[in-house]
Amino acid sequence: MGKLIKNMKIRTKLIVVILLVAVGTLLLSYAGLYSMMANLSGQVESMYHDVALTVSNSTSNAMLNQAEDALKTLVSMQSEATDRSLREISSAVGAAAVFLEEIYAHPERYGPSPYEVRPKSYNNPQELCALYMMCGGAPFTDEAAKELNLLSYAQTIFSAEMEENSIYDGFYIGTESDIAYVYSAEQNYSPDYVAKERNWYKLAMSDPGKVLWTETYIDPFGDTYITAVRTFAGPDGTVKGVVAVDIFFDIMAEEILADGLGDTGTSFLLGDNYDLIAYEVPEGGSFEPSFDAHFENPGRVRQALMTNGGRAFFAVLDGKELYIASALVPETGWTLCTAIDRKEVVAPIDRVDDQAQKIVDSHADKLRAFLGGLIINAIMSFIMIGLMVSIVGYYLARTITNPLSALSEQVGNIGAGDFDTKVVPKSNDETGELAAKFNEMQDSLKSYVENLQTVTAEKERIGAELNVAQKIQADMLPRIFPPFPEKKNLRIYASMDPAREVGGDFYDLFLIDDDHIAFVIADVSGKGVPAALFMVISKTLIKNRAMQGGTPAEILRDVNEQLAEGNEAEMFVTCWLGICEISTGHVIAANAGHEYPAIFGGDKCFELLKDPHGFVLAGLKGMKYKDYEFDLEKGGGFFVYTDGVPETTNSDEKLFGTDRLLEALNSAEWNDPKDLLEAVSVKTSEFAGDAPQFDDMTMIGFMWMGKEDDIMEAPSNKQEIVLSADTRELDRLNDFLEAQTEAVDCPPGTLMKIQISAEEIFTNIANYAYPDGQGTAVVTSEIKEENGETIMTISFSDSGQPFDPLAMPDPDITAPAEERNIGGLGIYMVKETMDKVDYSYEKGRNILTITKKIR
Amino acid sequence: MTITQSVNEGIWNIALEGRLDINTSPDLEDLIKDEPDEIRGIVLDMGKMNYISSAGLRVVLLMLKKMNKAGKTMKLINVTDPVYEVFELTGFTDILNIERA
Repeated sequence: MGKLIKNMKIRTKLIVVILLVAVGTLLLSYAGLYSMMANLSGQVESMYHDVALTVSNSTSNAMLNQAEDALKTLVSMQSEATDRSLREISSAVGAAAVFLEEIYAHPERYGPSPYEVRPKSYNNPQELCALYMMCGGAPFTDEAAKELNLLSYAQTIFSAEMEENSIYDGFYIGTESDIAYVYSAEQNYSPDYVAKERNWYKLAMSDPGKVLWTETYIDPFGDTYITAVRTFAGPDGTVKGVVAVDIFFDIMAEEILADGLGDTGTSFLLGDNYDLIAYEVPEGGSFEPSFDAHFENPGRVRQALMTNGGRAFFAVLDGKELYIASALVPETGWTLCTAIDRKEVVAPIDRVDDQAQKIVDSHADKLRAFLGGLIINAIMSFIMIGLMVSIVGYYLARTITNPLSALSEQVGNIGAGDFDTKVVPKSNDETGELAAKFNEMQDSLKSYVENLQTVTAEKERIGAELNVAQKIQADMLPRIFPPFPEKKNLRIYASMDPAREVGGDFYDLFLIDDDHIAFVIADVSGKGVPAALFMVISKTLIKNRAMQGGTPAEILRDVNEQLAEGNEAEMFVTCWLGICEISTGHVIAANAGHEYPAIFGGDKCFELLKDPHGFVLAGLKGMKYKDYEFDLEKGGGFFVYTDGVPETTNSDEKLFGTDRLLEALNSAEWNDPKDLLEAVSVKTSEFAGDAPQFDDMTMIGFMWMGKEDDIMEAPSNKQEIVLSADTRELDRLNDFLEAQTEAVDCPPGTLMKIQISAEEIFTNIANYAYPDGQGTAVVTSEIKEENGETIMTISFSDSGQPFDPLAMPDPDITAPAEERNIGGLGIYMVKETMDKVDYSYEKGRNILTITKKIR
Repeated sequence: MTITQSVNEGIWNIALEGRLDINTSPDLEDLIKDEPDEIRGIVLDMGKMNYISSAGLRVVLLMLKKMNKAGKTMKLINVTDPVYEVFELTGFTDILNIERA
């Protein structure tokens, strides 16, 4: 990712930055705005909800209050009406009781009653009349008859009441004297009836002088009755009996419950212990007085009835939720309730709620839509602004990147060598400054390069001249080996390896006369051109002087005089000069401040000869030098060198030294001085390693092979093999040749050429030498080291018919394929690949000899 | 000498391993006599052939003449330096299609 950012173009970077800033700002603004709006809308929504709630609450309260008022109004009306009815009845009873008391108080005022009271029997007439019976078998005494007479007067009141009010079922009286009197339309007779033991009687007796009400009760026919009772007393205040009236409670209840509020209004009547006295019994249902059976949460409802002081309340009656108002019926202590279905109260409230909610929702939706619109708006803005910014950014960026690209191109041009094409700065900003400065730099660069070119050209010229000089110098030193091939008993090799292009070391090899060879090795002080110039002078002087004869000491003395003359530069030369008598191997030498020569005998054992040193040449005039002599053994010689060899330094600044030099000389395997010098070179190279060559390295190796007519044989190995003249012997021949060449490390290409030639020649012998194919071929192989070369000579001889294969003409190797012939191609190859091919017929044998330089 | 050969899309690939000399060149010569049908040319792989004498050259020339006559191609591939030198020396480089190794 980091890499990606790094490699993004400036233009892109700029645009990205601007975009980020612009879009980022926008994003932030919109985000802020949006959150504010969302917040606001949230608040508004909750405000709506609060308002709706308040409205709803107020409405429901109002509704409830309204309902309550209505209910209460009704219930109080109802209870009042009920109370009135009940009071009427109790006053009737009371009046009857008072009347009876009056009669009992003044019985004399009342003669025989106009009202007939017949005795009860099984055949009671079913019509409104007065009947009597004696309870509990009490006898009907005169007393009783008198009392009964008095009682009968009550009919006055009874009949008047019963005529007026249909709810009276009948009046009856029970006395302490066991008279039971009844004035009713419905008569029934039970001989066991004892008035005093009846509940109504006992009730009245519980609070004498007060009108009391029984509980409602249901008769065997399923009708509900209630009875009002009162005692009446005699003149002395003792209770004489009880007067009671039975009320058709059903009728009363019906009247009470008839009114209801609204569509769902019901009423019900609770007794003084809150048991239900009257309510609308559902179809097919039976009357259940138990309060708890009807009301859910009866305890709470009782509470509400008791404490409310008339407030309306909600309760569940028979599974319906009702809003109930109650009122006391003081006369009997009953509670009259009227109720309406909760739903009827609440429905309007719900409707208002719904409406309010709808309004709230629609407003909420509008708000949300508004917010949504805001987002879309934002996105559109982003895109628009994004585009604008990108375009603006793009053009802005270009003003930066275009100049940079142009400069970049210019750099490319400069790299290709064009220093003249320039970019014109187009603006004054940093890129313009850069362009201007860049152009300046370009000019500087141009002149620098031109300068450099001049200097380089000059250097190259000097280098070229030095190369020429090097060549001239190199050509001055004898470099053809063997330098004197006619002198077969001399083996010589020399090399000069300069440290710089031109060096100060030199060597010289020349014949002073037919029997004397001079060896010169010298080292001019310093390196480079000055040393090279001095070297040329020195070499020339030495040779010239030596050719005139004299001993080495004399020669050096004279040369020194000349060199020291006019030697303003104060250069000097070390030199060793040795003259060998070719025929005898006798050497005279002199040393002018040069390294000790290393001498070896026929055993190739090297030792440093600590020869007398004269002063270096060209240093001072008048120097004298000393000759010394030694004789070389057959196969012995010397090795001379310049100090560059022992002073070869490695990277640890250690010197090769003369000890290591001697070791190298002694350990080398060599037959020819060339190999010896090479061995020393290898050892010094190895020693030096990476360190550069500081000084010129020059060496001469000389081996005297003995007197001319007794030259040491060059070591060689001659082998012979006899083969049958059959091509199947070819493998044996090849093995033989391979073995021969193995020892001398023959290059494979050379070996193959030798083998091709051998195969050719041998095949000829096998196929044509002997008419009957039977015969032998003798193959000899010899490898010689000569003048630093390894030469292999192979001869094939047979005793077959004389035949010179070389006499055949060469084939045409330029002919097109169709016209080519194989014939003669083999011999042609032999002639072309071998150095020498000779044929001779001697002593009855064909002899074909091939010679090939291996290395 | 080991000779391996295969025919591939009309080309007869022959690879030589070892020496092609007076004794082994008859094997190659015999192989050539049995030219497969429907070949358009020969490719002679000399990568592992480490020796060729004039006897070998003879067989190669034979093959070339045969192919030329039939209007077919012949190509030498993976020719090593010493072998190439022999071809060069004998002017065979002028008449052969040689691909050096």
